[in-house]
Amino acid sequence: MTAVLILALSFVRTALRERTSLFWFCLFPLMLLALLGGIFGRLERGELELVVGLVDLDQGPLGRELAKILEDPRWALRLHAFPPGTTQVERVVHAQKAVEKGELHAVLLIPEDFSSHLLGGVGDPGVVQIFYRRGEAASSLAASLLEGVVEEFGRALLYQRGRLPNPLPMNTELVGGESRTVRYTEFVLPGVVLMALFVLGLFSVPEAVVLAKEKGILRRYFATPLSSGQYLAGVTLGMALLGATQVLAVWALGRFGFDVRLPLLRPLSVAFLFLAFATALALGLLVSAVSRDYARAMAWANLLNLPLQFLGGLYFPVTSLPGPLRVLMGVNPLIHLAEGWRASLGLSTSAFPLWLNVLVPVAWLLGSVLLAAQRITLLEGR
Amino acid sequence: MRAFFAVFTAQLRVFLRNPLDLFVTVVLPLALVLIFGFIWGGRERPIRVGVVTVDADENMFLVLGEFQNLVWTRYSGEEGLSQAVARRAVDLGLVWDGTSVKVLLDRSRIQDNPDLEMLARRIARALELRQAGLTPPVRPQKVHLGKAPAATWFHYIVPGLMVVAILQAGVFAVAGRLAGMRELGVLRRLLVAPLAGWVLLGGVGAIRMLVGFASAGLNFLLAQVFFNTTFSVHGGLLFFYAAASGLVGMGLGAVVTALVRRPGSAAALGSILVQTMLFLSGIYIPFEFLPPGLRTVGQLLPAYHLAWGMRGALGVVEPGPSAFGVSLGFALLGVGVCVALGRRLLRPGSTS
Repeated sequence: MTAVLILALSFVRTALRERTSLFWFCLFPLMLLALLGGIFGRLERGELELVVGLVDLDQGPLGRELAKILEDPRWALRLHAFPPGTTQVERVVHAQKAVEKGELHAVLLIPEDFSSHLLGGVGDPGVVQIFYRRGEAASSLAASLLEGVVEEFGRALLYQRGRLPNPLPMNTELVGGESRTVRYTEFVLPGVVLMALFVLGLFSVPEAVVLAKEKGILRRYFATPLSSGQYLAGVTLGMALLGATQVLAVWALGRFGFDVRLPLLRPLSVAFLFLAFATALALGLLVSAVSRDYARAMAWANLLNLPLQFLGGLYFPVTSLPGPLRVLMGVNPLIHLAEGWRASLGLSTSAFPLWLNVLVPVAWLLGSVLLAAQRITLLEGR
Repeated sequence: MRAFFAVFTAQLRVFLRNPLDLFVTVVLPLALVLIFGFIWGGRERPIRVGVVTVDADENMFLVLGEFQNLVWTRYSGEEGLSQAVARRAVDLGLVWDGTSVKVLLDRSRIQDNPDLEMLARRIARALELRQAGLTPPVRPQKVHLGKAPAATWFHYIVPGLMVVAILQAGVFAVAGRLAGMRELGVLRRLLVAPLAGWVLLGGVGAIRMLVGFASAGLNFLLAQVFFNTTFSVHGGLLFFYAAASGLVGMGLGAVVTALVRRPGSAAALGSILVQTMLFLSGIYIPFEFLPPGLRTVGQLLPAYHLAWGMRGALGVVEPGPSAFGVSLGFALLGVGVCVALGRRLLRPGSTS
C-alpha cells in the first residue's frame, strides 16, 4: 500500500511540475469555464452590444412612432449616431457601407411614403427594409430584433385603429430537468469537468504506460520489488488525486466566480462522476493498447479528443445532427455521461434513458480494459 | 540551392514519418471544419416545431406554412410534446387551444431559447392576425448587404479556419521542429556544416508551410463539397493573406522557440497561442459575443485581422484597407522576428 501511495504522489508531483500538463489539466479547464461563462453569461443577461442604424426617409408621424419603439430599452439595441449635418439620403449610403464593412450590425430603412401609405389605408402593407449581413451571427440577431420591432409596430397600429380586438395571450414554459432557471455556467460546468477528466485519462495514461515504457522508466521500476498491479494502482490513485483536484478547482471557480450551486453530492451525480473518471482512464488504456509508440498514442489521443468532446454535447446541447454523426453521437461515451450527469443534477432531461447512459460508458470501460489486458505489456518480455 | 533541397527532402521524410505532426497539421484542421460545420451548422438547418392544436383548427398549420425554414410535427397531447421538447426531438413546442398559445422550450438550450422564443412570438402574432382575418400592415424586408450573394454561417467560419490552419503550421514549423532538432543535437550538427541559417530555416519551414497551405486548401474544398458553400475568390488577396498568415505563424514560432528550450514546452506554448487566437479572434465564437476587454485583446492579435482579410479575399465581406495594412504589418514583423531570432538561434554555439 505504501508503494502505491508513494507512486501516486510521485505521479501527482510530476504532473504538477510539468508545465504542459499543469496547463492542460489544471489551468485550461478553468480558463474554458471562465471564457465560456463570461461570453455566454453576457448573452444570457442581454449585454450583447448590437449597434443598429435608423434611416427615416419618411419623417412623418408613423415613421417617428416606429423609431420610438426601436428606442425602447427592452430591445437592447444601441442606435448609431450618424455624422451631424448629413441628409437622410446620404445616411442611406453611409448606412449601407457601414453594414457591408461590419461597422453596423443592421440598419432599418423607413421609406419616404411610409406614413402617407399607411394613413391612406391602401390595402398593400407598407414595406420597410432591414439591411444586414446574412450568416454573420450578430448581424442576423440584430436583423431579427429589428423584424420584431417592425411587427410590434404593425400590431400597435392595428390596435390603435381598433381592428385587432384582443391580444392573443402567449406564455412560455421551460420544460426538462427540474423546474428552476438554469444558467449557462450551471449547464457548462459538468461539461468542463468531464472534459478535464477525459483529457486527463486520454493523455496521462499513455504517458504513464507507453512513454514510461519507451523511456525505460518501467524497466527501472520493475527492477525493484514493485509489481505491475501495484504500478497500475499507483497510477490510478495518482490520476484520481489529480482528477479530484480538477473537479474541486472547477467547482470552486463555478461556485465563487459565477455563483453556481449544483447538487453535486446527490448519489446518482457522484455515481456518474466516478463512472466518468473510470471511463476516461479506460479510454487512456485503449489508446495505449492500440499504439506502438508514444507519438502514435498522442496522435490517437488527439484524434479522439476533439470529435468526442464536440459530439459529446459538453458545451452546447447537440441537436439535429445528420445521420452518420447521430450514430457516432449515440456510441460516444461522453454524451451519455454528460446527459446522465446533467439529468441527475436536475439541469435537463436526458435525451437517452438512464440505462443507456450507464450502459454505453460501461461498455467502453469493459471493452477497453479487456483489450488493454490482452495487448499491453508493461515490460518487454513480461 | 542544393543544400536547401537536401534539407527540404530530409524534413519531408521526417514529417511523413511522424504521425502526430501529420495529424496536427493536416487532419485536425479538417476535422474541425467537419465537426463545427455539422454541429453549429444547425443554424442553417430547418427549425423543428412540435404542435398540439384543438381539433380541426388548421390556422396554426397555415401560419406555420408562411414561415420559411420550419418543419413541424403534430403531437396528440401536451405531455408528449413536452417530453419531445425536453429530449430535444423538436426545437420548440407550440400548444394552441384556440384562445392562447403556450410555448414550450427546453431549459437546457440556453443559447437557442431567445431566438426560439422570438420565433414563437412571431408565429403567435401571425396567428393573431389570421384569427382576426387581417394581414400585417407593415412588412419587414431583409436585404443582405454582404459581398457574398447568399452568405451562410460557413462563409464566415471557413476563412478563419483556413487562416488558423496556416498559422498553426507556421508556429509548429518553427517552434516544434526547431526545438526538437535543438534537443536532439541535430541542429548543432547541421550548424557546423557549411549551411546558411536561412537555408536551414527555409528548409524546415517550407515543408510545413506547404502542408499548412494544402490543409487550408482542403478546408476550402471540404466546405464547398459538404456544405455547398461557394466563394468568390480574389486570387491576389488570397495569396497575400495565406502568405501573411504563414509569415506571422513562423514569427510566432520563432518567439516561442526563443522563450522555451524543450520541444514539448514549445509545442505546448504554440498550442496555447493558437487556441487563444482561435477563441479571441472571432473565428470560433462571433467577435461581438466577447466581453469588451477580450474584444480589445482580440483586436491586438494577428489572427483577427488575417481572418477578416481572408473573408474579404474569399468575397464574404468588404474588409477595407485596415485589414490589409495591419496584416502586412504583422507579416513584416513576423519576417523581422524570424530573421532576428534566426540569427541568434541558428549560429554555431547557440544550441547547447
